[in-house]
Amino acid sequence: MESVLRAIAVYAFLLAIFRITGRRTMAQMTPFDLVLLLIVAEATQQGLVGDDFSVTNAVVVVVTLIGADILVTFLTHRSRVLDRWMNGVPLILIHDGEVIDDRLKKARIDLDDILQQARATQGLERLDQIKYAVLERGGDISIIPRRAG
Amino acid sequence: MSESRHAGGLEIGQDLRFQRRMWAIQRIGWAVMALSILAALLGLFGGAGPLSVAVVGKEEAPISVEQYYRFLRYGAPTTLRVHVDAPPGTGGEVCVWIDREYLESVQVQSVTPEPARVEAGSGRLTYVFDAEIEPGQPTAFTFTLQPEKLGAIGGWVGLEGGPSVRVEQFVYP
Repeated sequence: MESVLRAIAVYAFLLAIFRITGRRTMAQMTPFDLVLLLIVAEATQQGLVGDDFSVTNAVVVVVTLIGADILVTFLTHRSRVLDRWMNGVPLILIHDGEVIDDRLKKARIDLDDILQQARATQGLERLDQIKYAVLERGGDISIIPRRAG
Repeated sequence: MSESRHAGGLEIGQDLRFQRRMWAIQRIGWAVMALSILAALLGLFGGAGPLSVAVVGKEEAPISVEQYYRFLRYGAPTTLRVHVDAPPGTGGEVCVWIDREYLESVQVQSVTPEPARVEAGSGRLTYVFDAEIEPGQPTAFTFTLQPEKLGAIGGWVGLEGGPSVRVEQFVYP
């Protein structure tokens, strides 16, 4: 019983904390972010498993974690409100060629990030070639180039 | 256009009002995180820290608890230091008892110095130490305890035939 409660508590805590941090942090993951993530995993592991190192406990914890995840995705599919709270909404950063500065600032995104994404995914060279830039729900930026006319 | 499936030429579920609310909540979340770190530094979530370390009773009293922690964590060992400054009982023995209420919430893992014997009494355990105490030359006994209950716990610690003091603690899961 304890293992299930532990797993649920850790799942809920991590879910909340990653929602609070914002998507910016996790999508553009730097090498240091990866290290940080590993440390977070290490720190949670103790609280998750406790001092019970049995296979049974591991199985119970894993099943609970994955079960909780399935439940959350199931619920977010059914409820649009919950879906938005869990996954956020997309945000337009460049609208018809026009950079919306306050949204960039609030979303903690630099113009450089957008340009980098434009180069990487679309092979664009300049800002004026971008028609739309959208911060997607997962935290990546999608770029829609201007049609050459 | 706070809620529309279209923005310009894009078919997109952008919702600026919701987005702003989300940002506001994130800002609150950051503040909560900062406060939790501060609280943890002060010892509010267990362990050491100025808000956690406590004393009960006066140092001149025959018995006092000169150091214990108000906030504990389940399964994490903690210490409780009992300060004794009393004329010794007969035969150079000091008898410190802990009541049952407290012993039901914590497990005594070790006592330093080791007691000569432990006696089970009605509703209490008495730790008998071989110690010669001169008045004005106090001594201290350290109990290493492991919390076994969650939430508020507490109990009495006392000197056989003398006064007693009450310890109140809180155990986090």
